[in-house]
Amino acid sequence: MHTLLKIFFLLTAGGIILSSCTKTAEGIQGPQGPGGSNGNSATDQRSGITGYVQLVDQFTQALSENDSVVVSTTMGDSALSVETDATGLFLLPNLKSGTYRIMFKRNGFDSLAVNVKHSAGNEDKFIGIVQMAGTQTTHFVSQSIQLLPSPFDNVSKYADMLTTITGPPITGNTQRFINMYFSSSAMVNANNYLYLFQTYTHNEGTNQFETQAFFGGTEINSTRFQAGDTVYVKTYIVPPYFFQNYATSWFDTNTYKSIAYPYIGDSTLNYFIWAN
Amino acid sequence: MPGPAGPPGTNGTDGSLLDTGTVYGNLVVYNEFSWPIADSSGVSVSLNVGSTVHTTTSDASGNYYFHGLPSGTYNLTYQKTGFGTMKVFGISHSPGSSINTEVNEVYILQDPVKTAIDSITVNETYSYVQVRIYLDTSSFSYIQYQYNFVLLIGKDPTLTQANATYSPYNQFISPDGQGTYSVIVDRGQLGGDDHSGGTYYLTVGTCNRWLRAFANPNPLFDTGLSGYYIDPSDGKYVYPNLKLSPNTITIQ
Repeated sequence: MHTLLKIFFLLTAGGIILSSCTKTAEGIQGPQGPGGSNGNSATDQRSGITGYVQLVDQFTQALSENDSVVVSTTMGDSALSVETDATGLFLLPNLKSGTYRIMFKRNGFDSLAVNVKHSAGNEDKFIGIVQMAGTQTTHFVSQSIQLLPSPFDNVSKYADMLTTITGPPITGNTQRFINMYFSSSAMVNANNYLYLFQTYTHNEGTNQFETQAFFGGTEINSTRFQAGDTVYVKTYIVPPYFFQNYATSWFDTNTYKSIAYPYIGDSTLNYFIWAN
Repeated sequence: MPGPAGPPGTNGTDGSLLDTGTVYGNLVVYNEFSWPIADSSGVSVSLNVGSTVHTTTSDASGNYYFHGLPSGTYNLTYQKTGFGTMKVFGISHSPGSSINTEVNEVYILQDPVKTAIDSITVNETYSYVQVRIYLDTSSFSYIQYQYNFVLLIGKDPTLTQANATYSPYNQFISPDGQGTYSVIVDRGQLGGDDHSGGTYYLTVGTCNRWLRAFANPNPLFDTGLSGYYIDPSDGKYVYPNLKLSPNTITIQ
C-alpha cells in the first residue's frame, strides 16, 4: 500500500517537472555581462617548496616513522609552518619567488636550517631528502686517567682512561664515538689543544669503556712536559663517524657561519699529572 | 523586458615576466660497463612550461640548452633508447641578470644487455652461502667491472634496498675465472646484527657507476655521483638502470 502511494507521487512529481521543462523563455536578451577579472600579476606567481625528512637516531638507525617534524619559514613578515607526515613529506605552499630559510625541528633531534632559492612558476620546488639526526643523549658520569709507562720501550708513555657514561649499555648497536683533546691549558677545547685522539667503543656490554692514548718521549705534539705538570683532557661524545660521512653543514644566516651537522654531544674536563 | 545581465567574462590570462633566460647543463653517457661513451649526443631532454613540453637534444659533448625560458621552477627528464630515464627536479630559474641557470651534471646509464644476468645459483654450507652469477661473457672484450653487481639479502620476498637486511657494500662480487662471478657471504651476516635463522630471499642486480648498496643504516645505494634521483611522489630513490626482479632465490 505504502509502496503504491510512493510510486504515485513519483509519477506525479515527474509529470510536473516535464511540463515545466516544455515551457520556453520568451523576451529580449539581457545586456552583456561585466568583463572578467584581471589575470594574476606576473610578479605574484607562487608555488610550493616540498621534500622529505628522513629521521636517523643517534646511533645511525634510520626510523620508519618520520612524522611531526615542524618545517617552518617566513615570507616577508608572515610565519609559515607545516608538519611532515609519516613518510616524511612536507609541503610549504604558495611561496613567492625568493630565497627562503627553511627550519626543521623535532624534539629529540638536532634542528637545522636549509636555504632554498625559489622561482615559483608552475611546478613546486622539490628539494629532495633532508636527513635529521637524533641528538646525542649520552652523558659522562666519571673519567679516571692514569699515565703509565709504555710496555714497548723505556721512553714512551700512555694515558689509560676509564670512562663511565649514561644511556644504554655499549653494544654494536649503541656504539659511542669519542674525541679527546689534550692540552697544558684548562681552557682546552676543540679549537685549542695540543693533540686530538679519536676513538670509539666496542662491545663492552656495560656503561664503561677503557681507552689508551700513547705519547712518545716527554712531549705532546712538540710541547715538552715535566714531572708534576698538569695535562688537561677534554672528552666529547661525537656523532658516529659513519654518519658524519653523510652529514652536511648548514649556513647560519644570522652568524654567517657554516655549522657542521649533526651536533657534538656532552663533554667532560679531566686531568692527569705528568711523570717522567 | 530584457533579461538579467549575462555572467562575467572569463578572467584575463596571467601576466608573465618579460625577462627570459637560458637553463643549461651537461650530461655524461655511460655504457653498461660503466665506461663513458665519447659521443654524448642524442639524449632527449624535456621540461614543461605550463602545459607546453619543451624538448632539446644533447650535443656530442653532452651539453644541452633551453633558451628563452620564463621565470619558474622546472623539472627535467632525460631519455635515450636503451638507457634508464633520468630526472632532475626543482630547478629554480629566475632570469633577468647576466647569470643563466646551470643544472648539475647528470649521468645517463645504459640498461644491461650483455651484463643481463642469465641465472644465479646458491651453494650453502654450514657457515657460508656462495652465490654464483651466470651471464654470457663470450662477447666481452674486457672483464666486467666488479662493482657492477648489487646483491641484496633479506626476509621480505619483494626485496628492495630499503628492506634488505644484508648487502655487501665492501665485499665485492668478483670474476671467478670460469666465466661467472661469485661472492661468498658469511651466514652470520644475513640478518644483520640479530641473525635469527629462517628463510631468506636473495636478489642480484646489475647496474653501473660503481653502485654500492647500503642496507643499513642508510637504505640507499651510492652511485658515486648523479646516477640516481629521488621520486617526489614517494620520496624513494630511483636507480634508472638497475634491474633487480628476475633473480630471486630462497636461502633456508
